[in-house]
Amino acid sequence: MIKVRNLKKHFGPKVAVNGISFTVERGEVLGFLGPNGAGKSTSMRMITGFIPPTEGDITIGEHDMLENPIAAKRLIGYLPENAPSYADMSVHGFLSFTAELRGLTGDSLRRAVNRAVEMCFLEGVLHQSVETLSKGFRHRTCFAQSIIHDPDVLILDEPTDGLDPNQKHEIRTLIRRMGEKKAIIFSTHILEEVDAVCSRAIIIDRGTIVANGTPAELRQRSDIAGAVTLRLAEASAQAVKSRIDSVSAVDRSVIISESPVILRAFPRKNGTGDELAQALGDLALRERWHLQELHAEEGRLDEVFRSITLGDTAAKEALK
Amino acid sequence: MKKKGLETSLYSVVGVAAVFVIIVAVNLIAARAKTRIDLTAERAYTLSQGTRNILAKLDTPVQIRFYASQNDNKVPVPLKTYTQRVEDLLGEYRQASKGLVEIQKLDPTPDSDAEDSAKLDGIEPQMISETDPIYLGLSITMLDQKESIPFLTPERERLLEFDLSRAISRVATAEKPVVGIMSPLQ
Amino acid sequence: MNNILTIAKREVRGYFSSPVAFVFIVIFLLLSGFFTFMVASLFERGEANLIPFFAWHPWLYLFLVPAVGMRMWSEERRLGTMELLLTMPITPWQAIVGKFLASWLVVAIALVLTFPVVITVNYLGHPDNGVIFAGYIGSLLMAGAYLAITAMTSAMTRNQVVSFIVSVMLALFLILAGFPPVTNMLVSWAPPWLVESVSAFSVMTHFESIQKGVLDSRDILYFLSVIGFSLFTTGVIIRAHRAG
Repeated sequence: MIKVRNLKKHFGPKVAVNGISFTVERGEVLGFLGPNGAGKSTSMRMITGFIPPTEGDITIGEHDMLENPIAAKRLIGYLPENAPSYADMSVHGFLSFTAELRGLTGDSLRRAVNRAVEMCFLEGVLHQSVETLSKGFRHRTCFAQSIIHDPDVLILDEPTDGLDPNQKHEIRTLIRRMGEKKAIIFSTHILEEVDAVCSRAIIIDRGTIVANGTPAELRQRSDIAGAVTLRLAEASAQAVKSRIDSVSAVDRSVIISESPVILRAFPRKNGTGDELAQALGDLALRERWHLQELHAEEGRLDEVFRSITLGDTAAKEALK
Repeated sequence: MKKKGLETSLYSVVGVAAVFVIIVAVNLIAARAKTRIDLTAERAYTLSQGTRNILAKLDTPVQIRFYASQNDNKVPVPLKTYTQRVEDLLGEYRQASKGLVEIQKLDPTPDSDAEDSAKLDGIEPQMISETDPIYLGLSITMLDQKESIPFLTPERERLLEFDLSRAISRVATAEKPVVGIMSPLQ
Repeated sequence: MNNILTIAKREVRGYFSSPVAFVFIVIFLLLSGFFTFMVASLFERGEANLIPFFAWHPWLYLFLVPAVGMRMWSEERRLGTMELLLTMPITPWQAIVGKFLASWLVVAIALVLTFPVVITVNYLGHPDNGVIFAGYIGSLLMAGAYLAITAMTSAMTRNQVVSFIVSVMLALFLILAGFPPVTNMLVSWAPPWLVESVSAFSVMTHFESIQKGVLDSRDILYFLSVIGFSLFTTGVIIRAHRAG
């Protein structure tokens, strides 16, 4: 549905996007992750046809965005960063306007507007002017215009930005639901969203893709993945540590805190988190430790994120 | 890719300059083939067929010296606006004659060459007040033939085209028609 | 075509939902009334024509029209709605033309509302209504030319004030090209073809020509050219901003 090939964007001497390629099919929700300035928004602007790329192809459905922009844009619903809208219009007026530009008329226009209003819970503010709305409502209004024509493709730039936890939850649920039939790309800084909503995620740093996979795959890249963390009501962390280090399944261990005593043990190269957890559980039993908590880490995305993006920086520094 | 190349050059500074040149050229070309819709009640800006015929027959340049006082304070408003209209009509003549009719506009201020020229052409001023002579007349010359309209009055505006064309026709015809009177035999 | 109308409709509503349109219309009517009746003494002239009325339009428009048009593209950039508009399935030209037509309509409304002056003059005398009609056409075209220039300047910058100032200067430049003091100064040293060319660029030359009561294709073409060129350049500027 969305095919991006070798996308590049230069702003004068500055390279914002440096050869990005990926595809998104129907039923997929792709998360765009990356530090600020990585090129996420710029990439989205190119995919939606707002900015022309310096190089590369973008295909939406069967249409090339550069050869056939209007046909391609028809298939897309777009929520730009900062959720812009016309301040002087009412919510209803604004949605009708965007629906008209999408080619809807008469009854189908009315129905589309009503549907979008329902899905985004905008009934209460329908006739209020946009500039009087709170940030959350403004966001949802802009979101509503992106889905008003029931497009096959949705490109959402930070759709939950500035929303309170309830609103975030609503939007995520909506995206997940729509993701079943549509091809969706959305960018976010909130890594827990990725788990909640995405079927796949891409990490973009300095204009290139540095990681690409399902959330689970990405988490595996974390150093912590497979490690086992223990919390004990024991007196000496060091004492516990030396016992743990003697376990064969343990590669190394680290004292996280002295009081309460928390340690993390890392498995050997070929060991699994489960084996390690088993071994440590047995150990705790034998030693008669007061074990309060034991769990196997799945790896955290934020850690993966940081190690990849900061690691990148460090590597580049090292090369200098 | 070809389309992108054309687009990029079209939409650049070069493109803008090119479009500018094209538009100027179009305007210049269209200036030759102008069409006009004269909305004035009296069709003041359309020369009659008779005038056009006379102008078409011209083969030698005709000089029209248009004497009009420009002194803002002394010239009454109706005369000022009439002056403008006369000038406009003269412009029409020049255009329709394809340049054979040359217009020279002169302001006969006291003691000026223009004033002397006006006297020579037989153009008489009107005395609006005791001391201020106002000139509004013209002389039409071809080779050594001369006709003049000493003073153009707004009252005679509707006949202005007739007066002008007749004067031109006269200077263009080398010989004056001889008018003889035939009397019945005694 | 529909898209142009949709966008134009939205713009017109936008103009009237803020004080902009109303203030423009009221000020235009008041000032043109003031200049016509007080300063140019329509009554004292004793002539049944609207020359004193129309004579002020180039100067009224000079400041008032940019005030209407300066927000045309500046607002879009400020609000971020440019990104919405240009990712819709429309061509940028549809947006450019739609917005331009909307602002032209606002000015046209102001012009139409001056009809009491026409009635007055017809009541007092026997004016040449053909000339008056031509006068309105000329005025409308001139306003359109100024508006197109303002469209261009508003696309250049996010700042409405800058857009206003540059637009006024460009329009002033076009007026002065045919202004008697300027042409007289030129006449003294420049060859006739140069003087004529310079005044052919001037708004005044063509405006006054139409005021005489003749719709000359050259004058109409001039105004359409200014509009066309300015709107084209607007498109180039918008594209350049996006291309980076």
